[in-house]
Amino acid sequence: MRSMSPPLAPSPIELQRKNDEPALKPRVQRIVQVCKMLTYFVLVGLGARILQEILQEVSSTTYLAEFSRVSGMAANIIDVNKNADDLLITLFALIITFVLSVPVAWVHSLTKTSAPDPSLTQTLVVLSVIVAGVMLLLEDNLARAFSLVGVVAAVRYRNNLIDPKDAAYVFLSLALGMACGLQAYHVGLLLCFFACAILLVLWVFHAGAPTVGEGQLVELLKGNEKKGKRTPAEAMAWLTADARERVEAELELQSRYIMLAAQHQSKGGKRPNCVVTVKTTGSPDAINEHLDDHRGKWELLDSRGDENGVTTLDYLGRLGKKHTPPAKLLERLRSCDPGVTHVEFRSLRKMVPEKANPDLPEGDLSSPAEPGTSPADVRSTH
Amino acid sequence: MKLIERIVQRPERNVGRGDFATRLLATFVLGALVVTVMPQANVEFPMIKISLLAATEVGLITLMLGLFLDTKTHYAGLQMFLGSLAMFWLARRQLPWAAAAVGVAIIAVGIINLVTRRSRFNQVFNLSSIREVIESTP
Repeated sequence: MRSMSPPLAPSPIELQRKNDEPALKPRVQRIVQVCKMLTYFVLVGLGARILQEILQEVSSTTYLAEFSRVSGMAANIIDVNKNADDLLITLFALIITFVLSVPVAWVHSLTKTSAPDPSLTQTLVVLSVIVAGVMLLLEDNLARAFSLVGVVAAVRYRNNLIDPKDAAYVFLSLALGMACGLQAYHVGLLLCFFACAILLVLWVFHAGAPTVGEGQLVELLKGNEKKGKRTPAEAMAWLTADARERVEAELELQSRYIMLAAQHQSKGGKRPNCVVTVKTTGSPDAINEHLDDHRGKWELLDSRGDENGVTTLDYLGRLGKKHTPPAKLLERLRSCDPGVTHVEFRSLRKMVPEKANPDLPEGDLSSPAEPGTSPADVRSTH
Repeated sequence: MKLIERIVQRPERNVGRGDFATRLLATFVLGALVVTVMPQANVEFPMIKISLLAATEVGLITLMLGLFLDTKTHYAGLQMFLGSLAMFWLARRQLPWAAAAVGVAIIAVGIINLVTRRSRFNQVFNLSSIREVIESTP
């Protein structure tokens, strides 16, 4: 019989794996990264000091005098007064640029109506600082300016901005950078303040925004459909919750009628293309008589009554283009019986379902909507 | 070559991700500096200074690479940076033999760490230059 062996001691690899498992939280990781970045800059400063020492030695060494450019560079770098002066001016310009660009980014994130774009917001700050640095480099030197044009032309930095207002922010950021880079701080300050104030005022008063109503929504949908763009979800987002519920219910009913019309199409025959809904408190006989006499070949789809004694009748039929909408028929239906309270006509012309649902029971309007019969499944062939 | 193969075949040794290569580089650089610092080499002080400071600069760059390029070159960077700086300090004080001795000592420590065991420095900072090797081990 084999004796049970003691559990094996963890191998060095397992121990190492256990030790190396990253247990740091994202916040701690970010702090570690920031510390590493600071350490890096400390090392860069240390390296610059050592480099200065090396170059100082190189410039004073006789047997390296042949390397005139190296000696010149060394002498230039050692010129501490000039460098300190430049450093202070650059630092001041960059700090002012940063201070002025922050409100621009702030106003941008504040007035953004669509999805927030942190990338662009951060770019607005960084871009102005970079432009300020570039302007400091260029000074009044035409040759440097031409070189910059050549270099920038080689870089594909352009991006399509979805919101045209974003372009204004980018230009504002550029202008701030230019103003501070050219040491026209007063211009930058005034520009920043004025532009931010204008943008905030426009945002508060919704300048240029149309007054949105359901009628305009329908126009928008029609316009978009004509252009080949079908963005009902986008249009729905404009509405209040109540209005959205009404529109959605209406669309669902319409899609149900379209499905039923497709199912009532006789083999080789033509598809019904309209629905008449009549609400009455009286007998439906008079209505049926009127519809029997009419050319539309109306068929009763559904008849349902409510607690108040009102019966709702849905008739499916087919009419020619010239007779749509059937104004006279509707007028006759309204006056045929004193109990008729409401008559509604709904055209289904050129509306076909994406795919006919064979499981939907014929004439059953009261059944809940099938999963596959959402308004999105109905395709209009305008 | 046998030594290199032996080290590479034993992943528990902490010499992956550029660690081994930079440690070898540091050893050779410090060896060259020891030779330069010795009085028998007859190298003038300005040249020694430039060489030692250049090595310090290389050590700093190696250290910076370790910080941000996800390479494990901290050990070699510190070795070169501190070693060269210590040698420069001693050489400037007219102690060339002491500078050479310090250089030899640092090289010796580096070789011992390289051949026999993991880097204490990496252990202190919980750095692993063989993480990928361990993770890929089933």
